[in-house]
Amino acid sequence: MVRVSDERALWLSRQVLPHEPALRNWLGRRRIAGLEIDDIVQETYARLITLEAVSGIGNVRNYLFQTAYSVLMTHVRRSRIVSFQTVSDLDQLGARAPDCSPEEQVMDRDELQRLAEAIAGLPGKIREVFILRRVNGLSQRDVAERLRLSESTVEKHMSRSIYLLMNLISHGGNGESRASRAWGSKAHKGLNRSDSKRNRSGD
Amino acid sequence: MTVRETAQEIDGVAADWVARLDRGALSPQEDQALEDWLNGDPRRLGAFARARAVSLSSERAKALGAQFCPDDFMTPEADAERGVPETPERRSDSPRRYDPPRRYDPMSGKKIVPRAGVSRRRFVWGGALAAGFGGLAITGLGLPSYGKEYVTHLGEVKVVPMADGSVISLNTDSRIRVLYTRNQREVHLEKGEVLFEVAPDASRPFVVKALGTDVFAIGTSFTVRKLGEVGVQVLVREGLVKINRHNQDSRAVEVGANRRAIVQAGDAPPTPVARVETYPVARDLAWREGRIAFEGESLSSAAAEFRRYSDTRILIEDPDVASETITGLFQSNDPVGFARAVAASFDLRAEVSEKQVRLYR
Repeated sequence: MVRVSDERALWLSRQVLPHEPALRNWLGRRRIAGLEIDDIVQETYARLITLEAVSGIGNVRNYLFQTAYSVLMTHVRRSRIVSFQTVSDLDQLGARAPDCSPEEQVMDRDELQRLAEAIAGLPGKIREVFILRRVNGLSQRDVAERLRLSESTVEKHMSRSIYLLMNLISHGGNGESRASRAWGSKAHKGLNRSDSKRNRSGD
Repeated sequence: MTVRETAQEIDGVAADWVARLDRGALSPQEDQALEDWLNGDPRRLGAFARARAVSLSSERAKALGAQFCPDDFMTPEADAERGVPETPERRSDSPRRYDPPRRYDPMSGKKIVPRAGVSRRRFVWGGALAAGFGGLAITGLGLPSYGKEYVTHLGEVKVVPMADGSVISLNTDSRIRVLYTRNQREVHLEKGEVLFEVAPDASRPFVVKALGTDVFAIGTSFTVRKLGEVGVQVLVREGLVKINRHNQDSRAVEVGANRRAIVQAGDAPPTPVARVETYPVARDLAWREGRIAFEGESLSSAAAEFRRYSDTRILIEDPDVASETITGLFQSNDPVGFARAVAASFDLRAEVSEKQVRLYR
């Protein structure tokens, strides 16, 4: 896998994913007709993965929001339907990312609990496969043997579980209250000092 | 405008690739196939990276330990979905059918059925209930013989993962009853529109019933929409469905992917069971992500479509304005935002009052 190195994927999972629900909230409040939040998020990840290096990024959260903002602006300028008014509204809001709310920080310690809940919510066989693979750490082949399934079925169940977890993060991002509670919404405490100060300019 | 691949579809394929990588190293051919796929759309690389991040992040589940019992973490919504009784008096000796709470033997991975009377640890936490799985909330408790009821209100979309691996998504203002028995998985569509992504199970056919019409899933994903009391619309996304009326199997029609079938409730033999035509199904499924997609529709039909999702009305009196056509993807719960965007691009005025937006020149 040349395109997405393990190291970069790990960086995304540790440093970026936890901020995704907040990012989706923020994007959701921009309310631009004709623009899909999911598309913006995917393109944002694509930009982050193609960066030469990420070690120089001090504040990942702000960097993430700025990248998404720039993706958004590219679309707004290209789009036929969005009025210039919207563009100037966006410019006024500026690229400044909102800081972490205290609520988001509290969620930190419940993260594993939420992951457990997410697993509990997986349907039927998919859950069984996922637990053996991820909690008990068996290989897909061993899971297949133990459950008397074909390896390709195990692979399909893993795909479904990953997809459902991805959805959980996206759908969790729809409403503020949900977002802050969904698994994945953990904010990295101590990632940067200014996160502790509540200061939302976007609202 | 060609129908653009949705972000959800991309996520699905990205998850497939990540699961494939989770199994083991790719062959050179697979590696090339992945590379080709990634090059097809700039969003795909992002989705793939995100899927890998989610997958890696789920590896923290190891910290839950071999004794992890998922049922200890079931939210009441998820419990209800699996048919686990809510109250102590409905124990395992209750006539109501349900799957017993599952525990797993860490060595064999097999389910352990607990002895009756073993009390389960329960987590009750106020606000967290709203989170559930994917923000899922289930209304209605339903009776055993009657099936379980799921309802959405105006502007609401709900995704319900079923215990058999099927996923049911309800569009705005819809109501279904789900009745899973040993021999059949049966869903009654009482109102609205619902997408079914059916997990194959040859021993238990999946059937959706509405207005005397039966829609049988044959390894598939499809929507059924009730058109008031006059008919039923079926959109097939993948696979095949079989439609018949009043159990007359000899007259059943089969409908394949990317086709639409309309059944008129009033039609009697010898008229065909359904009118079947090719249809851009993917575009009509934008509602799953809370969106409405238009491709050359008139403003008046766009306004009618928004009315399905919100009680705010878009009023267009001028026939010239009403017949303007529109293309784009919009947030279904935001008729005002839609009207403003339209006003801006067609040089119209949008007058917003309570429960109404008037568009005029």
